[in-house]
Amino acid sequence: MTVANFPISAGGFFGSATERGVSSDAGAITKHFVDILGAFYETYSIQEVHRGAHRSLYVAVAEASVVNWDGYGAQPVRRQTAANALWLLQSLPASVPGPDVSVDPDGEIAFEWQPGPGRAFSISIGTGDIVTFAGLRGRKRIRGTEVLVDGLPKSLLFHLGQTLLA
Amino acid sequence: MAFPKVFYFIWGKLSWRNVFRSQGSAVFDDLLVRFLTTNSQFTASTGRIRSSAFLPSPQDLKLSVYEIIGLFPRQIWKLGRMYVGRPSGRNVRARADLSHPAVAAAGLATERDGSPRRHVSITGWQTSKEDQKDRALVLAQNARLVLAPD
Repeated sequence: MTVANFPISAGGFFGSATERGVSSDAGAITKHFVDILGAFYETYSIQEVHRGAHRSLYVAVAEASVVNWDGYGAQPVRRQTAANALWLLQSLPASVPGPDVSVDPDGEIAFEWQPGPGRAFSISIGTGDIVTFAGLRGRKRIRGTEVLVDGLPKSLLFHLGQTLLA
Repeated sequence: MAFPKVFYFIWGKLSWRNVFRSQGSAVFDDLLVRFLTTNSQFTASTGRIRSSAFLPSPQDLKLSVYEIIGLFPRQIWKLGRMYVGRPSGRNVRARADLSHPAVAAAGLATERDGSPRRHVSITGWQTSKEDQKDRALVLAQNARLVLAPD
């Protein structure tokens, strides 16, 4: 199987260096390029690359749809949380491996990557537009929050990329 | 077979040590377990446990675990079924074993409250979610997955 490999730090497909030209023709070419890549991303990435994560998301939401789903008094997943999680999953660049999906005790949905011993990165999303993240890279630990305005924040992708590639 | 050999053979079969062995080894390390009731909290094939399984309850900011020192495996699972599985109407699918040093490595502490029996709370959590996730990742990295018997 051949998989297109785009740098995470450049924002995946849409971060490719196509915006150097300043003329109207260059702008048209850029738009055309982005449209083609966008269509490809929709059909290839969402349906193939992250298919496992989509399936895991539906299973996790189904398992955590009632109060006390974990036996310790956890809150159920809300509809808006599930919708936000789906959006976040679809916003992941194709070059990022599919995450493990689980539900936090407060009803938020967590996406987690564990590329190796001592390395992990986790993002939680709830009903709002704020995501919380934390990561481990050996003895280095990072954590923070980001606001989702227009797609995944580049800082989030940077930290994720650092964890995956370390 | 000479009498001494027959004697030692029968004695060996009846000894307490062999009775214990038939039930698996008792746990003598000072271990804590978190019982897991959903498949999305772990991956059986890789032995990985998600950090979300170690986040504290939002109600009291405590992570509920059980102390299993001196228990045989079947007693550990019975504990999980009794206090976690049955009240929630779910099956206990696996457990995450944690050591006290692992808890300390995450900057957290343990509080034995004994209610229910062998119950321990992991305390010291901050209210911010990012801090909780950070500590939960450390716990997940140091935990060991044990699947429930069929």
